[in-house]
Amino acid sequence: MAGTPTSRVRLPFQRASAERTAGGPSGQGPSPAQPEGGGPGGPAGGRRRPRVSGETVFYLIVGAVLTGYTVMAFGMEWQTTAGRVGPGLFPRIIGVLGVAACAICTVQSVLRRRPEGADERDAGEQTADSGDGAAAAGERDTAQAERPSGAEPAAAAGEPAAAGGGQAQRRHPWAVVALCAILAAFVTVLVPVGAVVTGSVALIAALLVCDRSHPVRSVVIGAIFPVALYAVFVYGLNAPLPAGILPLY
Amino acid sequence: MDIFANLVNGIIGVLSPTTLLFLCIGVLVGMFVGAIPGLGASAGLAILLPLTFGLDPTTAIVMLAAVYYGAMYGNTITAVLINTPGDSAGVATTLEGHPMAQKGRAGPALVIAAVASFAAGTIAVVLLTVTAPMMAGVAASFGPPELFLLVVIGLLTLIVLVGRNWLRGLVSVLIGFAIGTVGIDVGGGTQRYTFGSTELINGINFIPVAIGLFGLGEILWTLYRGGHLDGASPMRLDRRAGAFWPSRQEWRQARMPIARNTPLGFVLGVIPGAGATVASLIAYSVEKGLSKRPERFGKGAVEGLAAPESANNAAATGAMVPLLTLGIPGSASTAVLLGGFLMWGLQPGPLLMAEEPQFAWGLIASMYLGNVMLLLVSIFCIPMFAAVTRTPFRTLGPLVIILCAFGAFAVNGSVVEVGIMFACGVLGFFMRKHGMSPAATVIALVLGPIAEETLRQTLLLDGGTEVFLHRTPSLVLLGVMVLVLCAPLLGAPLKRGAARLAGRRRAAGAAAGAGAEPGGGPRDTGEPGGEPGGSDGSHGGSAGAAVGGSEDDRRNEGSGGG
Repeated sequence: MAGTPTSRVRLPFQRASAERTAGGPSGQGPSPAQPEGGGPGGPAGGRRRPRVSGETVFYLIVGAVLTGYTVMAFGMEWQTTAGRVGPGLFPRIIGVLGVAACAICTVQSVLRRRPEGADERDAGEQTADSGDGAAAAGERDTAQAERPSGAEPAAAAGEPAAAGGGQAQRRHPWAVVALCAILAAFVTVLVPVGAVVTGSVALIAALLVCDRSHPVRSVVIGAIFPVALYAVFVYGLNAPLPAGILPLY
Repeated sequence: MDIFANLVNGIIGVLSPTTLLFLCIGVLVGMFVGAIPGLGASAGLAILLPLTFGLDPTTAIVMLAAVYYGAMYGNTITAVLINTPGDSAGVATTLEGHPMAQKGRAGPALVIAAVASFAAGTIAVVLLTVTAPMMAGVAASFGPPELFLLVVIGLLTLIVLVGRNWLRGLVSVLIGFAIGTVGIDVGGGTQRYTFGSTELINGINFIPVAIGLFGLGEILWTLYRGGHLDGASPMRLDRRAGAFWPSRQEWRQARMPIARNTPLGFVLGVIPGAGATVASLIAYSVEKGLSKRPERFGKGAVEGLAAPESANNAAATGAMVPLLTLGIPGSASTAVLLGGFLMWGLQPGPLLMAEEPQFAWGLIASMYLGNVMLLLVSIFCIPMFAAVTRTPFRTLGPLVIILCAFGAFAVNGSVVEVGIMFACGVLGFFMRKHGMSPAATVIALVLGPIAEETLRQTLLLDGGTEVFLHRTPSLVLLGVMVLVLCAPLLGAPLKRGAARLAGRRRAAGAAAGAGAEPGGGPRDTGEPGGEPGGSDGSHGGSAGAAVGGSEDDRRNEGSGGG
């Protein structure tokens, strides 16, 4: 539906060239964008690297959460008075292992001012022609694919090539931040305002974040889709959604 | 014949109009989900799980399983036509499928892929029918120590063999475990990490976490990468433009790869942690290694298309074996299915097949029918599904987000779960960004409580931890565990040896080819693709580079495709 015909052949996930950058300030700018409150910044393809990489921050946050988890785990009994295993044992194992693993990851990410860090890998995404397609899925897939291919010498050679070939891979941290803000607002007002209204407003906002060139279409889709979905859930599946301010049942 | 009688009962059970209808819906939705670039089987299942509420468990699982293996078919369409697989399991398909499409053979490529998928899917279901009861029999003798070890082995496979970086995999798994410990303690009833919230007493529900990590996380990640700026991809599939049916020669070329890679895919699917993506890439490497003219690969070789397609479908079905017999999911998608089992009040594990024969056999029986439906649908409705990709991400993404949000709320009518879903979406985004594995987290979340319970039961048995050494099955499993841990160490020498072997074999000519593959696949889990791939450096060409290039930015999702 409503696919804008494009003159050039382009893969769905392939970055468009410079043509519409509606997604707000792209991450390519010199300032390292910080996409999430306190979250790891996306040094987004920028050639200038911030002192602390987003990866490090991410591991520090995960590590901090796991540390809190571990501290609480040690507050629980690991053995009951009857000599049985208590509730604290398993969380302790997880917590200690997790904190240790996070610490190593953090150290690695600090040490690795490296050619194959996360950002570089992002950047090196679109190199070989058919690599694009694989890359698109590669994001999700990963690892497994990697091992098999890792066996091939060609693949080994591919890595530096890909990393080096990453020209100006644009990132869109602000689009993600905007979407997160929409989601946060969605959760806050969902129950008092109701699923239909909240859903509509959130959907319109999200559509506008993704695509500013079709405001009318966004509003129309945003108005219709949540209503239809509400009907499917409430009447079709008998799963209640909050009616909120609208006189719905 | 017990199996036969059970199967017939299963088929009779499935042949009700309602179930058939939902099977049909599942097949179509699966194709649709698979064809959407960026949404794979696991994300699709997680998003659709809340929609199966009102259904009875058998109907629901029949539908969801159809979505699951249907997505494997749908995958192919975009992989071939626009070189963008809907899911990671389709990566290998792009390598030959897209070049075929570029040569004007898109129709034949899709037909061959569909037939390969069908043949592999059906053979794999037969294998499933035979092996599942056997496995369930073996598993019935398993006690808590064995189950605990199985869980650990499954996760180790995921971390050590599959992951790009085992440390990141470990963190991913531990996050899942940690989420799994929230709620009432299984043994004593103590509240853990609930912070006094009544919503958390029953633990963090699996469904919002899965929807967040797979569905929302994927969308945020695509958005971050600029997916919303891309237009729709023009798809060209015109029946008049070229031949739609494969030629006789193409059929002949496809036959052997299908026969070879179906069992290979099935075995890899059964191994927890491996899965469809690994299977398809190994299959591709195997075919390329066996080929007498490997230089054709990367330019539209039919074998290179049929092999991964048959392997990934066989693996998808193979992953059902541990799910049904052990209650241990081997991949992200089966983890979501397991979450469904729990939601419907079924107790997964060795007793599932004995206690819920109607459910288990109904599911197996439905897979025979589902594969037939998928074959018909994918041959006759391909243009329709090809149209899916004309919906650009910038429209589809927000719609899916709202669907996720409503679905997460509807599960328990709790807004906290929507919040959890969003939080997990953000977590999933950062995990993808930093190369961690959301799939491992979800699998660990499902397995965590099982692991804890079985560990505690084990420790209650006489002898404490020594009990692991006193029981034969657990000793065997310990051995497997050591093997899994050592696999990366053994990797390099094995690879070199295999490369030499394959090189000699190729030199020896065609005759040697036939015997090469059977041992190669299963043994190679640690070293997928090592054997034939290693010898292929010189022929790597664009195909090798393609895999290699994609490897760089590949984000861990363990068995994302499975």
